Amino acid sequence: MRALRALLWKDALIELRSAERLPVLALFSVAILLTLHFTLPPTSEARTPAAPGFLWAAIVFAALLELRSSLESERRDGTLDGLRLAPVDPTAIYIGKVASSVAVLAVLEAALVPLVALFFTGRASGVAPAIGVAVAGTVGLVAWGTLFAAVVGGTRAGEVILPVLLFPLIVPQTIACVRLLAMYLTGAPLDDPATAFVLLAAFDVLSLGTSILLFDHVLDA
Amino acid sequence: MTAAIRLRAVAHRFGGTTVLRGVDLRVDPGERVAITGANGVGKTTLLKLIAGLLRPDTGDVTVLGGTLRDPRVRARIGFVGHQPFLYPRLTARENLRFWARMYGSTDDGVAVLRHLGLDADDTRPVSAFSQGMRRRVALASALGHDPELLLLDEPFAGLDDAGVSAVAGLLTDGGRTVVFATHAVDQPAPRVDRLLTLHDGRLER
Amino acid sequence: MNTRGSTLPLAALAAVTGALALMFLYAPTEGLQGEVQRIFYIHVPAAWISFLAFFVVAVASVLLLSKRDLRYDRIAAAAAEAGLVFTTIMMTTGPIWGRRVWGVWWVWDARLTSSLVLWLIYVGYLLFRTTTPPGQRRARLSAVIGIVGAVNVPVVYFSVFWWRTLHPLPTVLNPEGQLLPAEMRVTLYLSLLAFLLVFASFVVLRLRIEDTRVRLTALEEALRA
Repeated sequence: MRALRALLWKDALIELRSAERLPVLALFSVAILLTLHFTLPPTSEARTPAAPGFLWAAIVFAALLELRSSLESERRDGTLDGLRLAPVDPTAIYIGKVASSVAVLAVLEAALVPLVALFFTGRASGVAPAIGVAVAGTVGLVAWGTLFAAVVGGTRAGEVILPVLLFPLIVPQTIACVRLLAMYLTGAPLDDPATAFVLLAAFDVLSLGTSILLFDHVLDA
Repeated sequence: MTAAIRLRAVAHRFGGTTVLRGVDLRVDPGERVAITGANGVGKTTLLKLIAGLLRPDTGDVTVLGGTLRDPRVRARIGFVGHQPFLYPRLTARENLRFWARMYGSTDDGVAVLRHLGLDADDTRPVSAFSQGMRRRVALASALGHDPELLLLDEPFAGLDDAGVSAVAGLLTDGGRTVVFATHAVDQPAPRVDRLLTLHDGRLER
Repeated sequence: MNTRGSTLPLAALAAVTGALALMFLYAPTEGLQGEVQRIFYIHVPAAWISFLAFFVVAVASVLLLSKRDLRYDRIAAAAAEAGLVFTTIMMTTGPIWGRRVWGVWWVWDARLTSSLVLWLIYVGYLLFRTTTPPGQRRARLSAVIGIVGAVNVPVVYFSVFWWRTLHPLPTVLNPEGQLLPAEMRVTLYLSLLAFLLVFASFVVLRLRIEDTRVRLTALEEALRA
């Protein structure tokens, strides 16, 4: 759809022009990982098994930040109204937002996953598929997140309510993703990787599908 | 003749106060209507209701024979709000191009931009522009897809005399239906067919 | 006192009294757990009503989005408020019972986790409503939250279930799994009826309050015009 391409082009151009979202997310994620690192005693055996969980936690918080800023800039600049007025299917607007957020987060994860491998597990193997898993999980996060970011709006209360609403919803995603990340990053045995992949994919499909159906109502007056 | 705009018994509350009570309005195609009123009286709300950005609490709004839920109707409307629909980090031309693509129009409004006295090749992002300049870019963008109905909120704000006449000229030619809100009645306004005042939630002559 | 429309609350009161009587006087003491098992007659119906209430929220939300009648929003909100009460009852009686019977306050199994998620969704739903100005917009957005919440609870249940299969729990006493003796079943059903009637009373009362408020606002509007 031409509108979708225009939307993606616009977001890519803005991000390349200002390059402000990505560095902020990177710094934020590193700060989170730093904090989590110090939750364990210095010679802890738990560092490696905890790594996939820490990684996912950092991704979730970064995603939260990204979701807010993505929609907020549109609202603040007044362009959200322009998008609502344009003769474009709200689905295109939704997919455009999801795609641009996933793209930014994917770039972040491409750097974050190796970093976690380097500083937490000390293993180089499995990093590439782990990045893939992280991105696949992010799609589900962003799918619900974009819908709810639009629902809660730009209010101060909305900032608090977004995590309250979102976190219970991403439990399935968290479960599937972290088990797979553990399998790849730490070699943790996983009896049933097939189901984990199916869960991951099914969750992405469910969250995208339901959000697409409901987004019209959210964007409406 | 189908009315360009038809409001029937439209009432709307905004932020706890009743902004519009039982407003009836009919605008015929090609008419030029100015709506005046004190600051904060609800002119912006009224325009947004017509544009479909807001849905009235009661009453109905028919625009160009249909409703704003229909993208084909939205494609024929141009709206220039108080806050222009511009991405601050993009240049004027990029903004124009984006909105042209969103409206499926091949004309991005660059000609109009030049007519309004702006440099289309300006490489500065729109955030570096003054408010008046931004308004002009927004207007050029709105006109780019040649809308039948043009809705404008304070189109003359922040413009000097030359700017005002340029904009006024644009509004009066083309046979479009134009509805705009302005609170500066003393400014040299274009010739309008009707002047309405929004007062106490009602439209009066 | 206005006695119109008080049949439902009176019936609820009767059912609650009856259920309490049965719960403490009629139902036999359970062999393994002792007296504490009587919480079962509160906990289980509370759980069922929690899920029923959210089902009502979900259905009302779908109806609101398709019909745009604000009455459905009021029904959803009333059901959510009542539902939160029952979910909280479930979430407090559960651990109390669990602590006494199994020695743990909490396990992260599928059922408890999805109950916690349900509770959080209720809270999120109502929190959103309190921080948003009332109207069509709030109704529609709440409906979106309600629908997503309803869709998600079974998904969460399943995913935690799968997660747990990776590390099976020690077998836990499942009070509902066994066949209940007749007296217990009767007590349970009466208790369930009582809870259902109380829930219905809450919702009806809440709706009446809301309807009155809507009428009052309309009158104020008419006066000011």
